[in-house]
Amino acid sequence: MSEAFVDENFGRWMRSVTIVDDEERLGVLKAASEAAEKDLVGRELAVVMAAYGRMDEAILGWLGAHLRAIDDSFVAEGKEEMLKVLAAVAVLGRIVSSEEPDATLCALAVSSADFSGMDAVIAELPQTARSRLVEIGRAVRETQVPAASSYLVKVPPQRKEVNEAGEATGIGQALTDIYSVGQAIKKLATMVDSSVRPALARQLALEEEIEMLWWVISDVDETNVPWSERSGLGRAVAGAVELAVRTRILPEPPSAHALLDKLLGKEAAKERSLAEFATEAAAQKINSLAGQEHALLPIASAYEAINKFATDDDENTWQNAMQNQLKVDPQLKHSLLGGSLQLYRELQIVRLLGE
Amino acid sequence: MSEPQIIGCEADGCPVLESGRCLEGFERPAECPHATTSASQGEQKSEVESGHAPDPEESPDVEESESNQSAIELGGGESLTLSQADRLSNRYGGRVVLVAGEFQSGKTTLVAELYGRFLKGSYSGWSFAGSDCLRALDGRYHGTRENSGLTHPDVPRTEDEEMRLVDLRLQQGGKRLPLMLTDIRGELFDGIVEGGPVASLVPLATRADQLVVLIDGKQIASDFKRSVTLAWSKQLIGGLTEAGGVGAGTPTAIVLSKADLVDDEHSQWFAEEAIGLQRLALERGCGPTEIFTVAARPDTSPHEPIDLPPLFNWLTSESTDKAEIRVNDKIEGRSFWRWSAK
Repeated sequence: MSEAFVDENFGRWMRSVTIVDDEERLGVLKAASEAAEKDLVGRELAVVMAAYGRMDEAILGWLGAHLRAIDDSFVAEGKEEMLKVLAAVAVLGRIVSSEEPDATLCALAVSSADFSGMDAVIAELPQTARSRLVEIGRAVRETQVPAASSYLVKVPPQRKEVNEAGEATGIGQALTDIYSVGQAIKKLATMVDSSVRPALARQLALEEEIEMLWWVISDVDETNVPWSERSGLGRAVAGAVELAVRTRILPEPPSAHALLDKLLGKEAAKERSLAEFATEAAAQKINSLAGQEHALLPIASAYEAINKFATDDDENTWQNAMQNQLKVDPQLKHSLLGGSLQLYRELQIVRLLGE
Repeated sequence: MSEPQIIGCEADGCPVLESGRCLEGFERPAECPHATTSASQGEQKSEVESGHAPDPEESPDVEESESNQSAIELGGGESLTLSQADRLSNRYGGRVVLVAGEFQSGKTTLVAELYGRFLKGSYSGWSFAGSDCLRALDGRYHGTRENSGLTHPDVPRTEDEEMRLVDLRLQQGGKRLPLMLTDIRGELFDGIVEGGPVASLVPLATRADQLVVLIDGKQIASDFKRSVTLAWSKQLIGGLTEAGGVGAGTPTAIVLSKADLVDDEHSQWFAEEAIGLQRLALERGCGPTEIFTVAARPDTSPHEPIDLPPLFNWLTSESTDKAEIRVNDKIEGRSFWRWSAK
């Protein structure tokens, strides 16, 4: 998947918010979306929200500014739906064209939006983000090393003091040989230098892989409680947190889904509500979730709402607050695997936002 | 030179007076075309004081302005021209439904009755979410109602020469559906059947997200006219799907209108022939094609539509127009660290 995908489908996406064919206008919109795509850093979550139909004033103004940079007569007022589609195109374009942290953050945020039951203004956005999350997870764990042949250097054969013809080795010949050896050593040193980074990256990826594999076959969690003694919900929450701790490279490896599935076993398909996931997270005191309040961090936000408003006798206030403020339904049901994966992704998002 | 003071803004909802931030994103809000500044207000005031009044020849006539003050024209609410629909779609999006059919086949009646369903509350799970064409919709629907004073329900004939649309915005939960139904005179479709280029007769065809081909049940009920009507419909489908017309893959509905006038024998006949029309539409590149029978405004009291829900459900069904994306998340061999030699 590449930028060509965006180019091929841009006209069709803009069709949903225009009636009259106007090539010039389409060109302006395309150029603006490309500019916005390169300017996502620091506003990833807000732009993803706009891509899911919830555009705030700041993003309206930001997109308007990008359009006005190309067409100074452009006015954002009255073009909300068009700007939401542009936001979605910018997010999609960034996700398909980059493996940088902002692209990763966008892909994770799109995944969160799906979990919260939101609808993207571009139908292809969720699937694209899922696909790219796998591809980026693979790509950031791939290491390229120089081919063995590139370490080959040529050094001149060792000369004798006197050759077979009885001629003594002259200073000129010696200097030539020294120069050749020097060039060979220089080349070798460059190759060794350029191998250090890949070697370190390789080591990091290997350590992560070994950690995760040992973790998933272990019978106990980090607190030495046997996994079998935890409820399915408890495993889902603790599993997501422990896997996140072992994730050295962001985003998640392509096998994250399979690892959590293995941990949950037969319970993976059982369903629980968002409220139940968050309540379990609160019971396990997952401090890394604290302080979050965003529709794209539904479990973390529910955790925060529970800490603020929930009491032993009152389970409703925090849920009402969440529904009213974030428009997220705490009673929406998800499989244990889906909820665990979501929690794992929210922890990645929180980490990326903090970096 | 000091920044002129912002004293107002014409943009609805702009927070510039409260927070100093411009809704349009201007870093210097005074540069926004919507902003009213102390400097600009001062210029207007000094123009008046210095006697630079507008040219008397351009001034409105006094009598005329006095009579205008007694009637406030709110404006709006009529059916939309293409450029108006375009602007509206920028705001709400637009799913264009091309309603095609011959003269008096029931195109306008169908649109009017769809609107009329929402005068009684939600319909088939959907609620009314707004329209910028209330006057047009109400005008088309009004003739069907008792308080119109008419002895029989009637819908005014579409007179507009231009391509026009009426917008009917619906919602279901958090989902919004901005329908834009065409309101085009039957004579234009006659032109297509007679071989005229669809691109110039009905330029909106290329933008259609859904196509409804209405076939007049009153004609189908007549042994003498039904074959002609069927042939006309075939020509229409052929003409609409020519180059510059309805796009490939456009979902299509073949609809028998005025179904209350069609007896069982003729209904059976139509059902068999409609399969041929369906096949033709698919061969011509249309998308999934379904067949419906509807009586949008039956002649007999209480004139409530018959069999409208299936067609309505088709109109409101989710679009399948999206690219196929395969997610390769299968664990194929080692899924962690990999290396390759460059």
